Amino acid sequence: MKNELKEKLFLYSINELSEKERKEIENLLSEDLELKKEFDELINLGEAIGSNKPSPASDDELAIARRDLLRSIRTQEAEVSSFSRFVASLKGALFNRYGFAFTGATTLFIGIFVGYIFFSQQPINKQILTDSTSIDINKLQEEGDTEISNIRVNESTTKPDEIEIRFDAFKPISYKAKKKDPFVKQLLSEALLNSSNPGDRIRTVNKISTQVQSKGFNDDPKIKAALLKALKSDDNAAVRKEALYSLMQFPYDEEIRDGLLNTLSNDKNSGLRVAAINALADIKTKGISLDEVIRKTLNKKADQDDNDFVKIRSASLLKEL
Amino acid sequence: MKLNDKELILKAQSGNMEAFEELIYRYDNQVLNIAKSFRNNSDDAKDIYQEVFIRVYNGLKNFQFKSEFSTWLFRITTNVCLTFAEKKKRNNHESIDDVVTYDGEEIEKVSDSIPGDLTTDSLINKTDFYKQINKVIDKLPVQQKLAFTMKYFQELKIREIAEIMNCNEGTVKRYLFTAVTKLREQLKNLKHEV
Repeated sequence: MKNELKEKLFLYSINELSEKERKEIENLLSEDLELKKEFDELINLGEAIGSNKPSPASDDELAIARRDLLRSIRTQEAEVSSFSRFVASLKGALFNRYGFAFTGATTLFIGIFVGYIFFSQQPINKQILTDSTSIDINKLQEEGDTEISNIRVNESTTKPDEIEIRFDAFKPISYKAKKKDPFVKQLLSEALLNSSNPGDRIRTVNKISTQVQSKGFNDDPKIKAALLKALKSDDNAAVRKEALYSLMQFPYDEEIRDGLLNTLSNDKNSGLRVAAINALADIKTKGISLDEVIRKTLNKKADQDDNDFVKIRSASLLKEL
Repeated sequence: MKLNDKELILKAQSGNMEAFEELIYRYDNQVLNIAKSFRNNSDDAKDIYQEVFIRVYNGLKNFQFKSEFSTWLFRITTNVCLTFAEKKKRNNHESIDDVVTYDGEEIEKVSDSIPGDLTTDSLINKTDFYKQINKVIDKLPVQQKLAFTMKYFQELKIREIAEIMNCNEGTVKRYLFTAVTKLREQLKNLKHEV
């Protein structure tokens, strides 16, 4: 039997043929016994399958399915609603009148926070160094690739022969050592010349003043050079004055003489000019003869100075000479 | 006054849950029966039912009336049935070991699965015979099985099945003819005394 005919017979058995095709098959069935047998088998099979049909869903099954479905939908809705509420409240907060201000402030805050995170240095620990030979300012600068800055003298050291200096290099450092330590002197010189804070410079020069009487301190060329430079060029009169007093602790020489005469001649502060004359008088009392350079300067000042006291004091010193 | 499908859908699309429920109740019996006849298992049928209507609920807002709601719903149902069957097949080693998948391929013979003490001659019990029919149906390729169950168990016309399965009538006829031919081959050794 041809497959095409078998297929048509099958479709006939399930009532899926057109009227014309059905009549054709019915004619063939009345003539062909083999076809009739095939058809009967198909009908029997169809009946067997049909009678084996699964039972339709009961009302209970349907009710349970509906209940579970609605429960699932409500759960899903609740989850969506929570999210929607969050989004809505966020929108409300960000896009109303006050919201714009809030948004701006929040953005600024986040920006600052992110900037802080990105650009802040690593957490740093204060380092206390006590070994004077283990550190060298030049080496420190090379290693840290930074300049030494913000040098401060800690006034509250516990031991009288020790000094603690704090400064920033590659990280904040607290350097505690003997007062005669070369690095201490170097730091003090640096502090005197480079500290931007006049208070720090005054504290530094005071600290130097207290130390210069001791040997090893008043012969240090760096300290002396720093004091002379401060005397000549520091913006703050108090610092210049302290530098002058400190220099008086050093052995008198031409450098100190020139420093004093520079102050006498050029310092705009009359108090400092008087201090310079007094310093010269002190030097004379120590038995040191004042040379011709000093005399000329005193003569000049006795004749001509904005401040009468400076004139009188210069003249009186000249008489003493 | 009873609302038609379109009115219910429009209401449901605007968030009216009662309208959605009414829409479900018009068709869910058919969906559950299609699922049940396809899987021949109440639990599986319930899972399919859930998945179908969750998809309908989520997709209804995008429904544009380009087809009848029922057509759209039953297409979803057939898709879920097919996906479900594939998933089950992947997770079930027994069915992976089985031979049959598509047309022309040999399927496991039912007679091979009959217990040794139950010969074909003694197989006169109607229940056993039906069990074997179910076994053969269960081993049909999923598309054939779906077409077969919709035709024989839901008594849908080929035209309707084609619409639901989104294919032409010729394809459905071929599915059905192939399925029945296989069924006959597998059952021919069994004596059926109805």
